[in-house]
Amino acid sequence: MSFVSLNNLVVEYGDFRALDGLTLEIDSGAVGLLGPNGAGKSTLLKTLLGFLRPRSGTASVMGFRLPEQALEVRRRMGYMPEKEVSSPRVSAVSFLAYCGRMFGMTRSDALERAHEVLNYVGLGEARYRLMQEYSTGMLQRVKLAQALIHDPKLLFLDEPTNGLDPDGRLEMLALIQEIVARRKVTVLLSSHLLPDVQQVCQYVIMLNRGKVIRHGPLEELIRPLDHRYEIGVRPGDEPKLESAVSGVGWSFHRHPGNGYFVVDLPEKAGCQDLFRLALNAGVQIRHCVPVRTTLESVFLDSLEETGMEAAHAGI
Amino acid sequence: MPVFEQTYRSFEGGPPLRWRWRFVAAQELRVLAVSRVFKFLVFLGGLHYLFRVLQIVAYDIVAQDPNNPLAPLLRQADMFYISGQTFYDFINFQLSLMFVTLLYAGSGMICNDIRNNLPEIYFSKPLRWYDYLFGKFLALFLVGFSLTAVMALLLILQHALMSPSWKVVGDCLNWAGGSLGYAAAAVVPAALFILLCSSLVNGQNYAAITVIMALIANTALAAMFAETLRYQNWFLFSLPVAVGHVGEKLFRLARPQIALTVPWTWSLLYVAVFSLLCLLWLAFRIRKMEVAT
Repeated sequence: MSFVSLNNLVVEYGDFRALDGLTLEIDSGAVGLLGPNGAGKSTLLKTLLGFLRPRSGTASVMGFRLPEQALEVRRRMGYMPEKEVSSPRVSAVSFLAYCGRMFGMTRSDALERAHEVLNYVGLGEARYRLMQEYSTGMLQRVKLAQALIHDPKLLFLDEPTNGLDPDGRLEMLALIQEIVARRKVTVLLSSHLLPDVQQVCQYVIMLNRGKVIRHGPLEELIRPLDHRYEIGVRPGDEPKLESAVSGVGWSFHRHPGNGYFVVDLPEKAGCQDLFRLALNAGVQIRHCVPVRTTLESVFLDSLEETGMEAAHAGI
Repeated sequence: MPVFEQTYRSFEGGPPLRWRWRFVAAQELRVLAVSRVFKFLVFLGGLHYLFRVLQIVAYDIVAQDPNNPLAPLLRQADMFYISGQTFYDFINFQLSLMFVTLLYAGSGMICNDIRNNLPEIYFSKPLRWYDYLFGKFLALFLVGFSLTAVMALLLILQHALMSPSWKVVGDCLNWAGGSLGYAAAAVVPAALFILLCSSLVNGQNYAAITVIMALIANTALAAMFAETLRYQNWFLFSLPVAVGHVGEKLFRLARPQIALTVPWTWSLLYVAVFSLLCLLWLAFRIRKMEVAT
């Protein structure tokens, strides 16, 4: 059974169609929800929580229909919202115990679990301080902790690395990976940061203008390209390589970032042909790796296919 | 060391819970209980209560003791005499304090949650909008009721126990009913209106100012109508006057101060309709937080 099942789901804000006929099945594991700002990622999560009522179509989470059984869904899943959340006049322990009580825990059980979960997300002794004294990173951890307080099997994370410094971001991503691997929690991670999704998720769903523009396992989306290699040569050998590659009619260009040559070999040629050509031209190759498609390039290609430029998409 | 070295225990989930509003109310009271301003306001209410305790002791014990040299003096002093007016005056004074306390406690209850994006967290858990609304209301109601009716009931009980005559018990029962009714007529609309303002504006101070301005405007308009139309019953549209009118009738005061000729049930009806409208508007606002479309 799929954790999340959508069938021709349409959600509208007045006249604006935020989700336009989504049909999806989401299974266990870490699933990335990618899309530019306004693509419908947060709208999808809010619909799955029962905050938004679909105009048409059906949605179910863990077998419970939405929005009729939203309360059953909320009992079983955790949600980390995008916006900064704080209850300034209470400590994180008190706040989490309060959240735990809403799930039917006794007061002592809720308190114990609050301590455990806050320890788990790395809040340490700071959990006794009032939340008004917390940094953005600490508030992000509290947000994650409140989503974990009842040990959910399904977790919705909306932009979990928002506002974090580089170290904090890496820690948060490592924590999410750990939750998926060790706790066997299915995570639906919504982000517009492609590296975050690439680091954590095994399956990616790309949204744009409320529609799924591409989805599939991450490994399939960013597979290595068969005949494209990134070549670095000894300084001064670049003109010789250029003339040799042009001479045999292979296409190439310089990578704008690192300055390496990106060479497209013909179908019948292999890497050894490239080395033979370089040897004959007196070029010393110092770097040669097959080029993989990046999530970014897949995403930009998909956007182009749907007729939307990256600049307009806010990437 | 990785932050997740220690893990957390599994939780199989508890039975479906009813009355989740009690957690909301308890959390609000817990937050209020650590506030110094709130404690100070409750302390002020307590001082007045203590003064009344002394008054009852003076009247029921000292003044009734023929051997006490202060007895004749106390019997002659009107201020020590215990009647329905005593408890009405007690609640009347407490109402001002109750209003200030509710304003402090309630004006930020919803708008601060909204500003801190807490409704999204709360409603992602098995909490419904009516649990949230009732929990907030209950917290305010308990605060308001404790400062007025509960203290008044304690005083009435003290008077019933200390009074040398059993005849006073019947009066005490009437006064207890009057205290409950008068306090409820004042606390319910005040709590609902403060919560409504808190849900409508985006800051605690703005909410408090809105409540005060609305109260002033309400009374000023009622006075204006009464003066221009030369009909005193227009004063009924002032909510404090309507509440006071209900209180005077419930305590069956010998010398009522509010000069309205309409039946007191009209005042009660006005208070009830006002409370209902506030509740409906509030329910609409809070439901919108849980179900946006």
